[in-house]
Amino acid sequence: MRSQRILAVASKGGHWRQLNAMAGAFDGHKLHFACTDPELAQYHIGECSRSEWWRGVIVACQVLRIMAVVRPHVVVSTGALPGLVAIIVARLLGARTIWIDSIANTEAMSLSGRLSRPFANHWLTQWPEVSARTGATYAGAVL
Amino acid sequence: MIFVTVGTQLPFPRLVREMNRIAGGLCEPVIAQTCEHARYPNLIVEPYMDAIRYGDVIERARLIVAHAGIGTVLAARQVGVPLILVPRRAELGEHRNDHQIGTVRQLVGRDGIQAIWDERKLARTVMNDHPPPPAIVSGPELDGLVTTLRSYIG
Repeated sequence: MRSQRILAVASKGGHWRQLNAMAGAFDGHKLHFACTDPELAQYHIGECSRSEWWRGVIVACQVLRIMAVVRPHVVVSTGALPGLVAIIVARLLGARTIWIDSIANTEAMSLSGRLSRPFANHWLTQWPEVSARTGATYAGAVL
Repeated sequence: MIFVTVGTQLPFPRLVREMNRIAGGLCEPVIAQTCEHARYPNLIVEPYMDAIRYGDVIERARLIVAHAGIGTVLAARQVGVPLILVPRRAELGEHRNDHQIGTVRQLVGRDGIQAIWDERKLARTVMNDHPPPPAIVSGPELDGLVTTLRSYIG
């Protein structure tokens, strides 16, 4: 196994807890975290939401800077919208990308999840029903 | 101690008001993370908590009464504290959609997780016995996800 540089991105709250719950998957690699709560992770990114989507531009700039420092081979996110921004920027810069939709989305992919599809090398849901409906990969869940 | 938590995004007065009423008849402290600055005389209100304080209160709680947020569910299950979940409803302006109802439908019946669909039934449920469920940090679902992610990283 070649050690890879991985950047894991999530908003604070449930997204962040889910990302941490699955972090064992990245053992043996160089793992860097970015979070919207500056106290939780090494790298901080701002908030953006549907109503304040334009803040995504700021988040994109922050992600660009983090990407320049970390130079990750793989970028992984559990959402929400700031995580989507990270996945888009990462894919455009040539990193491999993994989107894991939040387990809170039991019936459909989140909006961020749907938008992430063209930019995610691996596109996962945590519910078999959502997988059947959308074609997202189901491999398990944090709960 | 009972811990009431509504997450960091939106207040949830329907739940907190009812817990304030219930706490008036209890002799144990009820700490409430409310996401709002309203006063609730029977609750020890902390509108927001940092991650360390939050983890500390979760760990010491006997019972958690919460909105159906995944962060709360994961945190409670990792330390084996029983949960009563009250889903937010979009029609009452409590969230932008009804995904918390889906979350509760999927999780109810698991060890240590109870659902409240009608807040008038909350009092009776809180008074019940709540044996602590085993702390769960892994399981077949998580193992499957981790194995697949590991194969992606290569």
